[in-house]
Amino acid sequence: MNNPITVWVGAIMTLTILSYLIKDNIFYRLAQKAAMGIGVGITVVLTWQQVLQPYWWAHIQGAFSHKEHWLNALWLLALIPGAMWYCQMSKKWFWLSTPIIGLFVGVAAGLAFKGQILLMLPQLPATLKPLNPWVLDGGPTHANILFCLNNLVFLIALFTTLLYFCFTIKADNRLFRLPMKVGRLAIMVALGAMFGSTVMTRMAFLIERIQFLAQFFSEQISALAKLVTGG
Amino acid sequence: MTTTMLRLLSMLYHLNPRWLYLAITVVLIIPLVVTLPMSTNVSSCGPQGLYDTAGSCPADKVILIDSSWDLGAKPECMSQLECFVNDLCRRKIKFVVFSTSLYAPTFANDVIKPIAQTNGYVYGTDWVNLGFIQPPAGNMGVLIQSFCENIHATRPIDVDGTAVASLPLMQSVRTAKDIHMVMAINYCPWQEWISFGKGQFGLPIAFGCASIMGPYFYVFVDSDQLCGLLAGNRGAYEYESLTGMRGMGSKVMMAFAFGMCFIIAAVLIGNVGFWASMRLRRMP
Amino acid sequence: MKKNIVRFITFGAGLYFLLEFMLPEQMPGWLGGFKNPFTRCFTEVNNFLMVLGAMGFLLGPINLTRGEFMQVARQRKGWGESVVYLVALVTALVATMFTTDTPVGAFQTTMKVVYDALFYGVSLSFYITSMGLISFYLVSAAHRAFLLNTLESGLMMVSASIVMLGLTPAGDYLNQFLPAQLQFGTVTQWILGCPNTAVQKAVLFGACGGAFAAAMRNWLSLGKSGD
Repeated sequence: MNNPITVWVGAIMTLTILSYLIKDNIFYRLAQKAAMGIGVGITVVLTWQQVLQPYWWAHIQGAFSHKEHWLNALWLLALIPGAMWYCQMSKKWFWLSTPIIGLFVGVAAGLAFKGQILLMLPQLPATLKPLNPWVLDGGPTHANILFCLNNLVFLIALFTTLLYFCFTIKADNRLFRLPMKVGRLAIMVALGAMFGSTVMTRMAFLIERIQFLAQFFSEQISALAKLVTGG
Repeated sequence: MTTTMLRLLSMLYHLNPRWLYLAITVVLIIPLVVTLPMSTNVSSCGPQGLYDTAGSCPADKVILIDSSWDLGAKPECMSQLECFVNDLCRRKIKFVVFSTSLYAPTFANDVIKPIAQTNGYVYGTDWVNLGFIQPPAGNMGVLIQSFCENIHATRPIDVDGTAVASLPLMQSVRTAKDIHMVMAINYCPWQEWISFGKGQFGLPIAFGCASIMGPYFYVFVDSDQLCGLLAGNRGAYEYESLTGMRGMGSKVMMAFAFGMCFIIAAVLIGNVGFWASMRLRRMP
Repeated sequence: MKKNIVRFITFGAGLYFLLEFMLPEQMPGWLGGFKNPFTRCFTEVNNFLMVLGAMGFLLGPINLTRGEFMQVARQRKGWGESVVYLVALVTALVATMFTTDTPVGAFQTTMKVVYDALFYGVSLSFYITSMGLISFYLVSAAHRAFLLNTLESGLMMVSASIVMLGLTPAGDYLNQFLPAQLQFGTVTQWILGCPNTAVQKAVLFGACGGAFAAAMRNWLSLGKSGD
């Protein structure tokens, strides 16, 4: 990973992509196509090596070389539904790919019920936060009162947000106007927090590349200085 | 305010964005050149929860790391994996790593191997990398359930093709009962760990995610479905503060500080320029 | 007839996982006391689905490569870029096939060097730098587009600024001028833990309902796509 060729290629690639900031240019487009081709090539080989070879081909080879039970040769039949994926490329035979797509849609749907129930059920008791400081340990202390006030703000934000997204209620309804406005403000606070976090993520990529380039240029300059001074 | 001053201020709004690009680049280079002191504040509960849960791992169990971050998450997730593995090695906790993304095992090995070597960890006895396990057409729930019920049948070989059954550590790691907790590190870790891993098998789950996903996963920290959360480089930085081992998370935090201040300054400058333009337009 | 077969397969696949979830791990004694048959073969089902899902791995590459090849064959505008794609594809295929972690001999060493250059040098740099470009556009958007002309936008920017400062050492530095309850870290954690969590939870409740409805629709093949 740290060999000079990789570092040089990385630096040239980084500068080529950054040249897009000035203007879209041929070097950027060539770099884009190269990255696409490399990504596809690596993915194809790794998918075979990491998934199909150990989980499918190894069993078939084992069955035919008598290292595994002969029934494992039945894995060859997986080629039939597997090949059905490629019928999507033909207009005439497209209908043959629909069963395999339907299979995975069914799998996802079946798992969604379980996944959503197990994900959301614990959220309901967690939403029931105490609002009465007298029922907490220690009674109505300063900390407990602040805790209950915090929970009140939480519940107000939660219910007003739910109300805001009830599109069956008109926004100019006199009863719901104020709660919807409060919900909108709560959503703005949350969006602000999300924006701040988004900036952190995007900045992380830029900082990493700038650090890489700074290190690259400083290494090259010090190597050049050594060459010039002969030291 | 005079017209000249307003004209000058309104120029701030019509600044060529390329000057801003240059400015942000220069601003981010400064912390690389100048070393500034940093405090070690752990303000969030996420890293503390992870630190406490990981530390309570008994000797007969392992920690499972789902290291599925790859090209698109390296700047944030690499520091999280590094600080977590450093801590596990320091505490002599054994761990098993696997990935659900094609390129992820390579990145995981790049981070873990040097740390393991430094700490005298032996592959196969103290740690194992099971490599890439593909969720069937993106259905992670099936994989998690199958993995937790029978690890050896779900992943019979490790990342190098060695039979899992032949690895000493994996003799005692066969089902979810042998796992103390799961640490999932990814740009957006699979939510199925919460529903299937925690909901079905009762495993404590912690996430290491990109900053952008942090606000979303706070919901699960609040409901105790997540025992820990590292959000972006800040999460790694706070975890490093807890362990006392400075790493990649701490190296970049000062650059973040400069970057954030620049963004806030850009918003303020833009607003001042916009206000000045509006005033100028309304002037007779 | 064809559509009914697909509907049957979709329903059957979903039913398997639904029954696996709903039926207990072990039936009560008066029902026979046998173990859940759907759970017993779960690992085999997982492995089968994994292989089946992976078998479509050539679909995207074939479509993409076919398009780029036609560009070159018909010498359309930008065909030179397609040549770069095809050369990169072949090089990556060969390098990945023959690379190992511990290369032995000149050929394997060369393949390792080529693979590292392609993966770490080209791919990794491309992805990270492309994502890094977004932060430049974020800066220009922050400058031009984030106008504080309403209460909502002002509140959003104040919240964003507090969170941005609170998550970095800049906030830690500014804390020395603030009382303990108003320190950036404390306020940031309050914003993330209270209003943000409440809003995200509300959105999650709504999304859960939507996910259920969509799952039911797909499982029963209802709606236009099921016709």
